[in-house]
Amino acid sequence: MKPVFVHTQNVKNFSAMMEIVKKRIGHDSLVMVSGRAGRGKTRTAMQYATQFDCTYVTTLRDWTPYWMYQDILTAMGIYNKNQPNRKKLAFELIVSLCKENPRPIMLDEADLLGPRLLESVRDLCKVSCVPWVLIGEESLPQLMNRDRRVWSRRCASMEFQPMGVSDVVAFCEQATKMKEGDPGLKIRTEIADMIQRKTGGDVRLIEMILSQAESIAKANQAKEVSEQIAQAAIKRIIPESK
Amino acid sequence: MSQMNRIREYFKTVGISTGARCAKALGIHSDVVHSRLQDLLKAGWVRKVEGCPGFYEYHESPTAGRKSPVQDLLWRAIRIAKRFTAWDAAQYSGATLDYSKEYIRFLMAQGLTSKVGKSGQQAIYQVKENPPIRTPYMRSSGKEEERHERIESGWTLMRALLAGDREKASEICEQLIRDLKNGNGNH
Repeated sequence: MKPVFVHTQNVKNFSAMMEIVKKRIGHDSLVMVSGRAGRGKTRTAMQYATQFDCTYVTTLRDWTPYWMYQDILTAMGIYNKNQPNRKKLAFELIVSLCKENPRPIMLDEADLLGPRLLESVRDLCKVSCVPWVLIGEESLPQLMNRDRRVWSRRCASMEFQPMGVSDVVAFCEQATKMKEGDPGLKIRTEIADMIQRKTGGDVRLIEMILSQAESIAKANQAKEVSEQIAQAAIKRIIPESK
Repeated sequence: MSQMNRIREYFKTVGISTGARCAKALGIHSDVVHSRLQDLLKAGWVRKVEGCPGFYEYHESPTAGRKSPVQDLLWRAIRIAKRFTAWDAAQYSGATLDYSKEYIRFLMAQGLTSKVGKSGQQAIYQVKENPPIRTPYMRSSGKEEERHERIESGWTLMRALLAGDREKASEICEQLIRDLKNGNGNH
């Protein structure tokens, strides 16, 4: 398998949403991206942040507002010795950096923020005038809807869905295409559907199963993921599956 | 100097011109100039003049001075991920796995990343604390660009031969021989 970033339906929806979000630079807006673990939220956000030079920070459970500011500054390239030693100054530095170079800021695992830190994020968002993208698991909408001021600043939101059958087919063909012109490993819709059902659309599991399927197909010189190959691959990754 | 750089320098000097004029001034076949201009357009070094078909104007690329946008992306992916495999870096940046591994080796030699473990067959790396924001560039020998140019010239020559255009074909052959004599080729 080769390391391709497959533009699944979730990724397409995320990119389309970010296009709208980018137009909100200059306004205070919060974006909510939620979904169960294993649906590719972090991967999508990291890829987007890499390609479009966004600031990306991972939330920590024990964060205090000052610690959060320090981590945001680190992600912006301001390290320890250049960081202000007071909360107010750190806040102001983040705001001035956002104004100097306006781009979306992504906070991953934002469901760990808690109401107090969420208010700090809202303050930052209000003053910095760049969109803040909060990415988290299923509890994030609850957290954001609790505060009316946070809720009303939401300019876009999306929920990551399980990987669909067409995504499994596209993933299999693209990731196994070793060179230009090579059609990649074929997979029928029924087989993709079976993999999708057994994994519940979990990106990591699907990736591992397809990687196994590719190895088995190679060993058998097969050009397609047959039912037997798929079942053998599933058994290796999810042995408890029937 | 490579043909691409010569064409870019020409547009930098004259500002606005056509591909044909550039070809005449530099003594490079117009098909080759046209092909190089497409590369320069993609890289943002020239842009088409609105309302004047066939005219191009020099434009200081926003990526001017950058040695490699792929390395920029790789470095950004590595800084964001902090702990990563060559696979992750390639996936986020769009680089090939081989290139990603080569770049990570370069970063390790520079002391910017270190190997911290293994996940299956893949090594896990960690970027050092407080990594520089500026991309550390791995120097390329420029051979890749020359190779690309020779392949392009070869194809242009084939097209001219198939079209029965002897004049064009001999002009390209002469250009290739000149390049080889000047050391712009792989002897």
